[in-house]
Amino acid sequence: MISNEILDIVVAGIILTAIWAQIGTFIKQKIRIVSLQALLLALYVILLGYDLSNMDLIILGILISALRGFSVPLVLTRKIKTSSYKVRERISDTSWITVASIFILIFSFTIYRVTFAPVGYETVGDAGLSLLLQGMFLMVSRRNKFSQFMGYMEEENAIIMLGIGIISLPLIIEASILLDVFALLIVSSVLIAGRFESLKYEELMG
Amino acid sequence: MNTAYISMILIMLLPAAGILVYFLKMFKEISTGISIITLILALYVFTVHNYTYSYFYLNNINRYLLISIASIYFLATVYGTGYHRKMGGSRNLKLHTSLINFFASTMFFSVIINNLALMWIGIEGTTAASALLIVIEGEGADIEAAWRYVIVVSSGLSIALISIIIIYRFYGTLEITSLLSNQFPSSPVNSPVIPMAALLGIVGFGTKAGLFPMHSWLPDAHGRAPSEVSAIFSSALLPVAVYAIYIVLQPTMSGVVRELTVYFAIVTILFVALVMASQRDIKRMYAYSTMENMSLILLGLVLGGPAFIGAILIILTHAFGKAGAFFSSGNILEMYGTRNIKSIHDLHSRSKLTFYTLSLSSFSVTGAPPFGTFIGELLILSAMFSQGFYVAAIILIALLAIIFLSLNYKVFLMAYSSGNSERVEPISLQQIGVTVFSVFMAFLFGFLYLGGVL
Repeated sequence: MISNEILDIVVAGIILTAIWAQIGTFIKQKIRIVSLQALLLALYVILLGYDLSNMDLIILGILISALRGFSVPLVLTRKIKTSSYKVRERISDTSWITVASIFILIFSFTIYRVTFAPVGYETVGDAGLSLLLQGMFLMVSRRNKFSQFMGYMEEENAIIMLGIGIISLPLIIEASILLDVFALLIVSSVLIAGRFESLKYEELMG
Repeated sequence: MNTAYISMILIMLLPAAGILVYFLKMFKEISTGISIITLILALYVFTVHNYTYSYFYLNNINRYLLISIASIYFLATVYGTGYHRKMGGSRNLKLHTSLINFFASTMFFSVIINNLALMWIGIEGTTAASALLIVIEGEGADIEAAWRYVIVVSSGLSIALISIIIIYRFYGTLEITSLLSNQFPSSPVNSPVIPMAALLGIVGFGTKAGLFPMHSWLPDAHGRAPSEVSAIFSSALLPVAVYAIYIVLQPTMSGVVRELTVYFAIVTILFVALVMASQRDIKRMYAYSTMENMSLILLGLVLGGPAFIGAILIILTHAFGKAGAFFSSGNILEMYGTRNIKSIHDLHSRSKLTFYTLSLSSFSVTGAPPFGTFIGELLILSAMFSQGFYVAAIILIALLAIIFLSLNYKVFLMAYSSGNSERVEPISLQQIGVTVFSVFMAFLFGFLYLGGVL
């Protein structure tokens, strides 16, 4: 029997990685933080599966660690040349981002407790909602494509947490979603190549 | 296994296998062949009755979607052979052609798979399959448009997945036929979480369908994609997303949700009416028009009754009409070398055929009589009045008139304004044939309905 406290510590670790990803500006570091987040999520799912004697959850955890924990950094960091290890995103000030991400954290926990109480309250669920909003915030607050994609990956991690909090989808569906997102990663890595920043084009206005 | 079930499997598998044309010399011919066989199979499936066929199903909406996807896939494949003729047998074109096949397969899968979560996976798959189709020429703006498409749509669809999880939590099933049957021992529709599931579904799938304010990717992707890809996006892909909204709304429907959906659609059309007059790019203009048409389809499906028939009429007429409009835009882009409306002059005398296809397709997508969209709009408006949406219906009439005038005025300007425009080169026979055929088909559905065939 695994103590709930251990599971909650893992969830807290996931939330911390989300805030770390918001504040960080080094791209390679950010990719690794979100991979760490996926690995923590995988650990949570495996521990939960072990606790509930649910083989589906254990398999899901292994898939998450393989596809998101290891493959994502492998594919994305290859797009950054080794010589430009310290490539940073251009951002003027991270202080307001820190404040905003803390505010999002409090807001999301409150919202989840109000709205999802009838469904059945779970710690992993409100952390999932928080991660979802953090991911969205990461996407809209940055122009760097890597950061935007990391925001999307956080969103996808959040969906798994919300799913566990509300109800787990059948394994075949969870696995298909993971593969779908992986396919999108491959496509995105092609689009990221060349220029890392999103630009404004005259042709895309109006 | 019966023939209908085998046909459905083949409808998905043949285009999926079509991704392998990348490795073949005769990739264009084989792709065209696959699209023809798929269309024949879709026509056959259209004739079988509504039923659950193992993992797949047919109902009164997806059978029409199946036909429109298969038709547009075929037309786009043929059009592409002419439109990209200068690229010869380049690797880029091979990749483009093979991805179009795979893209079609993901759309077929999304439409007939009898599981809401797998449908979500199919729709997410359409994004992965189609993003690279936008960047065939690899220009900076194309890559940016594709990037916005991937990021905006994928994050939107993530929200839709929350809606699906909530539905699964309350109804214990994701089988679409069960969700659409609305026969549950105890309906949880009174739970406050259910309207939230509906809202998340509208926002999530609405991102893909181009509903305001989640539409930001749509004009960019449609504007920058090659014309045949814009046609598939607009005519086939977006109606699939609207259908997904419809499925999510069925088990979650309540008075509040119905009103919410109606106002989402009206606000989207209001936004289109506001921006239409200021459009400079011919393809972006038609992209915004698609937002209007998708909103009308959603309205029709949600209101039900005669409006439902109106929605089906718009799905079919819009599919061919908008394809005709994008094909015509592609022809103009090739003739004039620009997509800027102000730089396109004297179309009427330079190419009468393109003038007619552009005008007629524009009339068809803006709801001019006798096109099916006109009849569809009438049916939807009558349903709105009969269900007590008086103010919304009156506003809708005004907005539709504004969009009609704005769009057709711009077509008029391109046709009759004088100025210096260099003719770059003539367009291919395939392009002309496909464009004319699309416009003819758009013209047909209104009469088929009036004749009692539809």
